[in-house]
Amino acid sequence: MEKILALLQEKMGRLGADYADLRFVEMERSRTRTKNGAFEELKDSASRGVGFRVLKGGGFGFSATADLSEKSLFRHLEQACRMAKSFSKIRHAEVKLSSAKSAKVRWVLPVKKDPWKLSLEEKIAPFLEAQRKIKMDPEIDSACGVLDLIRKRVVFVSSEGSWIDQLLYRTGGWIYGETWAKGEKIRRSWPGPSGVFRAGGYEAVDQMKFPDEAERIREELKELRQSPEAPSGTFDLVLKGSVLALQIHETFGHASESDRVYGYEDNYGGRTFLNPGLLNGYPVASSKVTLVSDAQPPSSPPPAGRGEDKGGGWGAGTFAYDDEGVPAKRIEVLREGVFSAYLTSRETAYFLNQPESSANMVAQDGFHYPIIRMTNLNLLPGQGNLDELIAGVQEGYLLDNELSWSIDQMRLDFQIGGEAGYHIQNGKIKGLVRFPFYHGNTLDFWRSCDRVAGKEEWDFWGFSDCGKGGPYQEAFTGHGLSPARFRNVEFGRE
Amino acid sequence: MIQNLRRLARPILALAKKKKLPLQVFIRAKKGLLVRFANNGVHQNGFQDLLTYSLRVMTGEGPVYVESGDFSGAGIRSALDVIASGAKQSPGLLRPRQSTLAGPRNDGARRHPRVKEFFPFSLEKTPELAARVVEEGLRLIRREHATANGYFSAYQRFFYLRDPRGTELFHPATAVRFGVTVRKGPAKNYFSFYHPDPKKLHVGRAVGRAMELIGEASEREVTLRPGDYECVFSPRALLELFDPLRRHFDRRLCEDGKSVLSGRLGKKIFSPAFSLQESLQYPGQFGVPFDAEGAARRPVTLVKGGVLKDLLGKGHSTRGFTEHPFNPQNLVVEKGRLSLKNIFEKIRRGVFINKIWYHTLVKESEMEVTGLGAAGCFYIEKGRIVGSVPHLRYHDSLFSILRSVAGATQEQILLKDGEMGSALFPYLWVSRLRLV
Repeated sequence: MEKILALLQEKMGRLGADYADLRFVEMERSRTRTKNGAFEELKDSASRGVGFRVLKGGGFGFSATADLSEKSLFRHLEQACRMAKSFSKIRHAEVKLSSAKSAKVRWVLPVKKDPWKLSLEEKIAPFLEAQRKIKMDPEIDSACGVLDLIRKRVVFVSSEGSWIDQLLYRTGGWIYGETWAKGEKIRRSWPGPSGVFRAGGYEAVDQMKFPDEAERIREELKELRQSPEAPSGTFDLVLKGSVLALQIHETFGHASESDRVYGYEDNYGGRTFLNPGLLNGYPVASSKVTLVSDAQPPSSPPPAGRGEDKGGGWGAGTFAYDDEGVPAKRIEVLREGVFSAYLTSRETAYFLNQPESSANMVAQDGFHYPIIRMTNLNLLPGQGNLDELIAGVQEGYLLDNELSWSIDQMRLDFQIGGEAGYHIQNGKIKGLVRFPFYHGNTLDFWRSCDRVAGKEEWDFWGFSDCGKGGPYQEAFTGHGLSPARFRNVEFGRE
Repeated sequence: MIQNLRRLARPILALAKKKKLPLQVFIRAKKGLLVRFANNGVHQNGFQDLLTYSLRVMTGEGPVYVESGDFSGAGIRSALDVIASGAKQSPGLLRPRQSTLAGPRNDGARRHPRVKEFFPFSLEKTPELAARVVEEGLRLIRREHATANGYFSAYQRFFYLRDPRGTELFHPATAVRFGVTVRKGPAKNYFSFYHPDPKKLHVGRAVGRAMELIGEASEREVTLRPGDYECVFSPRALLELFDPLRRHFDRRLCEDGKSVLSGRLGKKIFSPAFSLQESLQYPGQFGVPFDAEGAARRPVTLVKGGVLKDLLGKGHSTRGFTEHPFNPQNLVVEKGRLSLKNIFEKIRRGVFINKIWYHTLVKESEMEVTGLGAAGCFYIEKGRIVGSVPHLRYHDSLFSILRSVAGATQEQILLKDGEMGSALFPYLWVSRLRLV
């Protein structure tokens, strides 16, 4: 394959194009479902494809194929060139690219336990043990688990001389129990309702400690059968874990994608309330809130403000180079509450008069066009621990895992529901409530954040299914965070 | 094409036979183009040539699915190894399945409905076709002093299924889609066209449909107070609205008491003005005539006059392709007798919702949902549209919404719905929707 890719790289230089690149992507994914302590379903997938991008006459053309014969690949490179030529005549804007240094790199994401070397029995053992513990309560209807393993090799080759060969691992999983009370299904999950994903190997699953968390899930489901529903009203709110990752992701995460500024996502993903005039002057959150986009791979010791390595892998958006061959970097999207940077591609960085891209271009696989995506969008830690955050609440709720969420196309008006809420009174957790949901406006909500807990609470959360683009594609995102506290948040809809 | 697919399936089946694995092979090929455009023209395009096969064991309890694009000997061996590893975990996997939902016998080919969904066009010429469509669409929109963005796609798909009992099924399909969001002043609206036959695309008509409600609404923005409003859902919004209910029509889920429809068969669940069927045979419907297990797709009346009549089982399997094992693929909401204009004329105070964004389930038992209107929300007062609604959020029960259906249009619109089916929905008028 490498010989053909080298020939294609030569050919890119002779196309008469302004720029060309290709990505050869081999991807394997293995998803195992277990239920009530037994194997239930295995879904395994493998794909290999090459996607070509050619820039000619100020417009891009893209062509992708699963047919990896030499003849087919050259045909698709030429097809991408023809499409660039054809569509540049009716282009939306003249595409120019910000600069990027070419690189020749081979990089493998470090993993401690390669999941692809473990047997199926070994891999699902902690899930089965956790489910047996949950099912010890006979009133629990079902206990389930999902293990999701991804291995992706991306070879990026460009007409500028880059040859970047990366092997990435993404590992995630979750368990949940379900029970019924008053005709209503109640669910508790760990570490999130659709898992937490890490850039790493099976050590990520080890760190999730499923059997240990199972007992808590069982006891909480038992309590929730008797718990009241969450009330409507104005309360303080402490968010941690998956739901805080979602809160970051859906509000500032998508809002900071620069393709939305230019209307590229208007037809599906929407636009953004963050317009370029607001850069470096407009406080969109309280001064406690600093968000950094950082896809950089693990280093020792970790850069300041990234939190300590807890041994379970890094954020699921980690890579060495993005899908335009730009090295991963750290940028501050919000600095102490002030909007300070967009997530960009080489194209939008040029539009925004920035010297280089923020390295946020990612495609789902070889068959899809790379688009601007969150990688790891992290909330930097403040001080203190979760108990101190709770101690400062007179009347409020602590939420961990989301059940439902929605937000408008400008990323301003949101509503998020939790699986359950911990009722806080006079600085102490008093019990659980069912179906809490809160709503607000992105700006008001983040301006009400009065404290983010410290490094000792900081860890990576993140998702495998961030959807965007046309054709629709999904991406992995990581969100490093410590719990955070928000004042006077609206709950319910009464 | 069928010869190519047969050739690809042959070594998989031969190796499976050698390993004594009773495998079903499902090959899907997709070729085509998608172009996205904004106001001045195209900003993204992509040509895709995809080929994948799915393998599943036809019998047993614990399903194992393998999906791969690697047709090499090593790739096939690796896929079969995964099946074997699953079989080891689930000893029941290779035992004959006792379920009443077992796959079809070898008479499938005769019993499957005939559906013509393939209208050949030259893939080579699709970039030129896309350029013409986008140019024409944008010219018409600029002429109205409006702005726009949207997409055009043209694909050819081939579905091929073989199983160890000798069933061989083949279905070719084409699809052309053109979707456009038009903005004028504060108002915007969206219309999407879908049909298997590219000749049916009329760009001017599609742009006209996107433009038609904007007129007076472009002069005024309306902020709505929370409360109950009459509402008209477009076919697209209705399809999105209905989504959380889909999986609950699974017969097995209902029998297990885990569906919100459990125990409600034969009972009135919606308004008498609402009827719903799952039917590929309905005039104007398109889709793959067999399900994920190769069984013939049969029409099922799900709701008639608001009464839950039937549920989905054999012939409606989506196992391995969607999250839920039985999902409707070809929904049809019965048409009414009204035109959209007639409905507007009957409304005292209401909203029109053209597209829904982030429709999400808040609480399952009552199907309590929330979501936002997008690309085409208008306020209707005394029978006519008087302004656009820039921000609209609803929070209500799906049962309550569908119990208040007051009428539907005679016009039904064909919508692409998933990889293997489509929906045919009218505009639906409900007497109350709770906005928050």
